[in-house]
Amino acid sequence: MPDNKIDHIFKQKIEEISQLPENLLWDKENSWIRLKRKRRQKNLSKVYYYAAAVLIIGLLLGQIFNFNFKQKELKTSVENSFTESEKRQKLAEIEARMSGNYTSFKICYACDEIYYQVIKEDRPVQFRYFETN
Amino acid sequence: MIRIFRRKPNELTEKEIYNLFAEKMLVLCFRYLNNLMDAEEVLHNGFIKIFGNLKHFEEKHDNGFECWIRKIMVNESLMFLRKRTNFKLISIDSTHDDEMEPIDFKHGMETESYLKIINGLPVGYRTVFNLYAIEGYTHSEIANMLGITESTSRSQLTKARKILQQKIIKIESLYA
Repeated sequence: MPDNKIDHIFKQKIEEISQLPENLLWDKENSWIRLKRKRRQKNLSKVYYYAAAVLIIGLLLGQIFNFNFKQKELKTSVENSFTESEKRQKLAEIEARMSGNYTSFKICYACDEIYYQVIKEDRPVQFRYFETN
Repeated sequence: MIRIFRRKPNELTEKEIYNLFAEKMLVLCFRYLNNLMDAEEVLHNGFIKIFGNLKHFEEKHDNGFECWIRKIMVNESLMFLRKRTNFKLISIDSTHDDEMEPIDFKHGMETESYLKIINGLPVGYRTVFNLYAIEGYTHSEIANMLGITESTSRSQLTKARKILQQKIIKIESLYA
């Protein structure tokens, strides 16, 4: 039997079949209900996936913005403290000049305090500081 | 029924589409999977895809809607099969006629018998034969779909035809 004939016979016969063989039991209506249920579950899981994705993206963005905000805040505070230190340095300088016994100033940027050396009877005796607020 | 066919696919309700094609497509899936439960699962996956993409479907020729549905079902069946079967590992001589399930032909060659014969083939032969002879895909297309070489597709088809021919001759001789 030629190959084409086998293909043709089977194609023809298979295309005639629009129903399952009798020995195979299948309930169309129940299957429709199962299909609807499966579709609903798939849609629901899609919603969960989207929600999880949005949450993760939100958390990541939150972290990035929070980090940026903190960086900015720190920078501003440092800038402010520098300005404040400068102001304090000036004040301390004036005060020391008026008393006439200063030699040098030291600014602690970590604790934002200003120290200056006080000379009493030609020798340094102590460091004083101005507290920041 | 005629009224349903006259309407555009986009105008049909999901239930109407299901009623029209469900059983026919179940037979198609069954032909690939040889298991009713698996076939129904694939059928459901296929319909979910169809309903989801229905608004994007454009009918370019007559019977285009059914061809589209058929294509989706074939692809779904192949996806299901690929999860279970590595077509690359199927050897041409790995199965023999004797391993096939016996088919009871009480009334000679009925239409259903042809389905039984195809389903009796080993998975590789069955898939290639279904794709080539029934769906009309070329060997290069089948090779792409199954991730095998064209020569493997050809040899699987040859072997499938040989088994089918032997079966037909055997049955015909019984009822001659």
